[in-house]
Amino acid sequence: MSNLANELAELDKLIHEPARLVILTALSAVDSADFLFLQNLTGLTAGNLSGHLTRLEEANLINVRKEIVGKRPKTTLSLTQTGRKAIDQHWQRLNELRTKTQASASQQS
Amino acid sequence: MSTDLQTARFVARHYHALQGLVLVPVGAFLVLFGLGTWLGWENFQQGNCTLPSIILPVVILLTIAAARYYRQRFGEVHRATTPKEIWAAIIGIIGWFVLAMVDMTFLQNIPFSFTMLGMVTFCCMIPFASEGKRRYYFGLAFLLVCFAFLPAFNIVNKMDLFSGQWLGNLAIGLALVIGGLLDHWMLTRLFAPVQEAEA
Repeated sequence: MSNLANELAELDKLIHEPARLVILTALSAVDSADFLFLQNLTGLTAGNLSGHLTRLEEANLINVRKEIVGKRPKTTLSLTQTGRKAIDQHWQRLNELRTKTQASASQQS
Repeated sequence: MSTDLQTARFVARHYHALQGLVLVPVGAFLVLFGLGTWLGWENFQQGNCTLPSIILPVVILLTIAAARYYRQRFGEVHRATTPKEIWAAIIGIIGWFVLAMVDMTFLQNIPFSFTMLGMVTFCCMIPFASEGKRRYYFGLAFLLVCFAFLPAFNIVNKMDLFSGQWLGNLAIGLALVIGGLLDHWMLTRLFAPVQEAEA
């Protein structure tokens, strides 16, 4: 069991944080989404969401494109290739951990 | 943070399909057209297209306004349509057209509206295409099947109560209005309420 705990601890904290995991999961299902959509989806305040996006951008997991549309600023976000690969691998690891946990639970019972 | 990961993925994938208010003006137009033909309103009879041709641009404007509302209120999502979805839409439209032709040409004496079967199939396919969600479309499919059997009353009553195009327009219009409103309700329910900034 301690092995599983170690593996859980080794999960990438940058991706595994709940809000960032929702953002990356949503972006992995589309080509791109704007800031307003992600704000509605996550329920985060603009400042909070902006902070998470900055961290993801710094890690080269997402692309942030800012433009002015009809005198209004518009921020469009999409996953980078690294980001897409990272979220896929993260889900794969989570699935493997779930399978291992289920197997060890059935062995104990 | 109250959104779970499955919901996030579902909303992102089906965001455009869940924009139900876009369908409501089209559905309302069909309901109005069906009622107008049924009740014999002068402006909706064959050959008199003045009122429908005035209403149609309004319907298009309302549809554009609804799409704009979603863009400005809930944001935008870009997702490349897969060729599979395009083929499904083309096959659906051709199938519907064939059913309508068969219904109009060969099945006029059969007390069942075969044209509506296209919409019934469409309603039944939506929950499967939406990862098992939007199951209310099964209810709408059932409603449409009930409507499709209404011409049978003509034989029982020996009256011409439920024949003609109006029945299809009314039923399909109602399905679009109800389905659209339910889709909108689902979308607004799935979005997490935005948290207030901490003081």
